[in-house]
Amino acid sequence: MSRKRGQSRLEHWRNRPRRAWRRWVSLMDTREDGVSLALVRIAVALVLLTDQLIAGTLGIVPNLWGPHTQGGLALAANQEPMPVMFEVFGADAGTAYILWWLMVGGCVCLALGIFSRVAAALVVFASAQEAMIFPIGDRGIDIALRAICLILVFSRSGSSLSVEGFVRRGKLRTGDLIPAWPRYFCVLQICWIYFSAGFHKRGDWWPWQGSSALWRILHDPHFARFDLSGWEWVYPFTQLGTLGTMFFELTPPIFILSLYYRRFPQRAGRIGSLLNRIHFRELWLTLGVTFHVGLILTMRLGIFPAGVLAIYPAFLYPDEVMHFTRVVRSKLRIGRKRATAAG
Amino acid sequence: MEPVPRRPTLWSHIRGVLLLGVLLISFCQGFPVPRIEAKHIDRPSGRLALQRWGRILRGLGFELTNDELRDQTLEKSGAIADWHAGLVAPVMPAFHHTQIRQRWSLFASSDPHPWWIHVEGRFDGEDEYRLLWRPMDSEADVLQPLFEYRRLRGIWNPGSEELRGDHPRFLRFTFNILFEELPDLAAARIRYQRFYVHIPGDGPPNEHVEWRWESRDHRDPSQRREELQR
Repeated sequence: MSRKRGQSRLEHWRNRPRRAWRRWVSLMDTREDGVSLALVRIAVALVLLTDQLIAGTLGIVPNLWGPHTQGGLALAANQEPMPVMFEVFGADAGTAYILWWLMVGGCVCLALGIFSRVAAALVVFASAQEAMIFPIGDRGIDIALRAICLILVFSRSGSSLSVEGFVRRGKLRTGDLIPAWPRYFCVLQICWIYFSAGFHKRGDWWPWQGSSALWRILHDPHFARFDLSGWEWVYPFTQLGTLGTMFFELTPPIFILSLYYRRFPQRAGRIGSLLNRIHFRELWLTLGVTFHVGLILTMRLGIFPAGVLAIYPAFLYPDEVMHFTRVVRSKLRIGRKRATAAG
Repeated sequence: MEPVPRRPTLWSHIRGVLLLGVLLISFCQGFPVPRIEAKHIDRPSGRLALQRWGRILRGLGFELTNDELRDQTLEKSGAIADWHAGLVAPVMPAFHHTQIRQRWSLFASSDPHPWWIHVEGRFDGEDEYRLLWRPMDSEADVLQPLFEYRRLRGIWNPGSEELRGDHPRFLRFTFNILFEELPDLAAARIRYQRFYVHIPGDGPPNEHVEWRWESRDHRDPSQRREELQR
């Protein structure tokens, strides 16, 4: 940041905290169209709903969230104090179904945008209760999506693409301006997940230990989708994948900088300009999508890749979402016109 | 359309403080402070790491043996972890009630000796056990969607050296469901195979496999009792 004319160096440095605070307040006070956050709301709710429906279809609801005395797999009914659901409704198989219906109802309302804040709070509560009753079944992605839903509780994600928005304005895309900080927090949350995961990696994830982690993980039959025996020629590619994963998981701080400098190009110095010039934000997001699609293709991780991708609309500015929608719409319109002309 | 900044009000400042507080608290809770215990250092991978760090530190001029390094690591790690736990204690109820944590370790390490669960069954009139289900085997797919549901995998997927605490109830659940779904099943067995993942170009493949944690159950209650007594 350059000094103003006539301002001493000392004065410049003394004003720095005040200036940083003003920028922070202004950033948290920013408003924008709610379409990006609405997409996060819908996608996260649908992923959570799918997971609950799978549990329901398999018929294991009382096993997952019921007491061990009635076929439950965990010992939550022995805890002191018991999870709230067991305290209120009793440690009973029926309570597992009440909890499941709460979660399903919450996800449906959240996806449709019916009392979105209440629905998000309900999902956080029900999902946390599921975690308390059956902790070993509560995976990292459940915690991540719970954190996102907690952010949605304090957001106005239901202002657009929602039933409540439609009732209020008579259209799905209301164009209402909503606080942008919940979207920023979704971005920070997912960046922290990647960075923390990268920071905790050890052993052969690192180049000086051979970068063989992905090769080994792809041989773990509990997670791998294919048997790689006899496919030794793939090994160098898995090493490349290991290096790419480490790069991706350790660079979120640079990604956040690139977001900042894209939003405020006038504040970009040499590093900021370089990040903008090489389109670091777009490259990093492409790497992220590739990473998760790769996970879907090669590993069986349940809802993890889809769950994280459900948060990705938060990375997009609302105008980018609208531009993308316009392009898709115009393509569809052209396609329809051609079909009509041909018919 | 660019995001619209507004003129800050008093509420803007209050919100700024609150949001900054949330970020700081989350960062403190998620800060990677390892609590290293004796069992971590004393396992083979821990001993290797201890030797490596011992060599590095001695190379830097620190005069300490591996045993001294082990003791100091345990002492310092425990002290730092205790200090960290004390620091975040006031806000931990919020993390508890929402069951949110900010420390993430997704596939933090890769296992050169992974486990492979095998669910097997012996049918009426047969002497040998047949494979019913194991992951990544398209020919052994009895009740596959059930067993592979991610929440259940949390139970049957063991740690590097031990089974999960809820494993006994998983056994009961699995045996019950197998006898219910397969009417001519006489006995069932669950066990784990361990093998070595060979790194290409890293010496000859190690073909050794090991079986562990075998559990059996019988449909016939008298045989079940005998099994339990054994």
